[in-house]
Amino acid sequence: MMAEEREYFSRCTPVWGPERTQKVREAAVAVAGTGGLGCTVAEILVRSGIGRIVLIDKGRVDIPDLNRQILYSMDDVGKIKVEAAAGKLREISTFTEVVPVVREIDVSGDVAVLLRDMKCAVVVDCLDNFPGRFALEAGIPEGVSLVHGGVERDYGQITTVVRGKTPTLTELYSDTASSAPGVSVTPPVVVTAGGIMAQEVLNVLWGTPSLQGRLLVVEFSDFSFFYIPLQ
Amino acid sequence: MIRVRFFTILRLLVKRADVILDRRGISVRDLLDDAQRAVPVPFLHKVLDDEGKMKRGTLILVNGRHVQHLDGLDTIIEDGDEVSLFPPGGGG
Repeated sequence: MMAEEREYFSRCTPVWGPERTQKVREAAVAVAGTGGLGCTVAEILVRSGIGRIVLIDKGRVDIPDLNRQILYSMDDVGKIKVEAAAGKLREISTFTEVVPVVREIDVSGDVAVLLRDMKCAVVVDCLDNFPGRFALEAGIPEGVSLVHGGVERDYGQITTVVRGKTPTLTELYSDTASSAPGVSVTPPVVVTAGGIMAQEVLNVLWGTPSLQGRLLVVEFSDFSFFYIPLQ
Repeated sequence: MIRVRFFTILRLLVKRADVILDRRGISVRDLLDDAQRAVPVPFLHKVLDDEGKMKRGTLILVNGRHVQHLDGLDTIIEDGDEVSLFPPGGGG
């Protein structure tokens, strides 16, 4: 590491140690969806020194996004989300390669090709609908972990999915999950859930996932955190 | 004993995190009926439709496994099992 780079990460390197810090610096991660969760996850990973981050979304910034999608401001309304997010992330740090991809995640199969080509170690599900999540999951390359998060009102859930080792999102949510557009949600739970997802991405990179095989439910109405074991 | 756990908006509704019922060999359907009688506020209308089928929007997990991959509402619950009612957050 050069001196400036060492200084940038000087507050977390003592906690993580040189080996884990280096793993973060060398890792590539894909963030699917750059809404509330995606903005938080991306910003934390960039500030953590992730080597390369791929941002996938096809949306544009809209005014109702601004209360919780922390990479965007009023000046960004109307802009393509991944491009606005990439610009902000590059201002935050020059130590991460940021790759914006304007693409919808659907059942076309494009996502599988994209994820394979990007050689990402972890894919982060920050999407806002279940059909998109199922399509994303179907495109995850063998051996790659999927860190999933979802939020609504003032609660959220996070888990890590590994094909063959844990229930898939399709098995977990099946067709009972609703996916109404424009879900009501509060800023604190979005940023909290996103922060937990970012930490779990790091855990996965270090080979010590905390949420593989269990669902963490974050509930702000009574400030409780619960696990649901999954099988 | 069987533990029925309520999450998120269901927990707000029934004002309880869980109920413990002394049952065994009971179907999910009957267990939910008994659980409703054990809480101060009815909740089944949030979980089942008028025909008694599972509504979209709430997962019913038996020991962490979706009942749709078991025997649905006819899944038999035994002593020591845990049933979780969880409406997952869909937003991002």
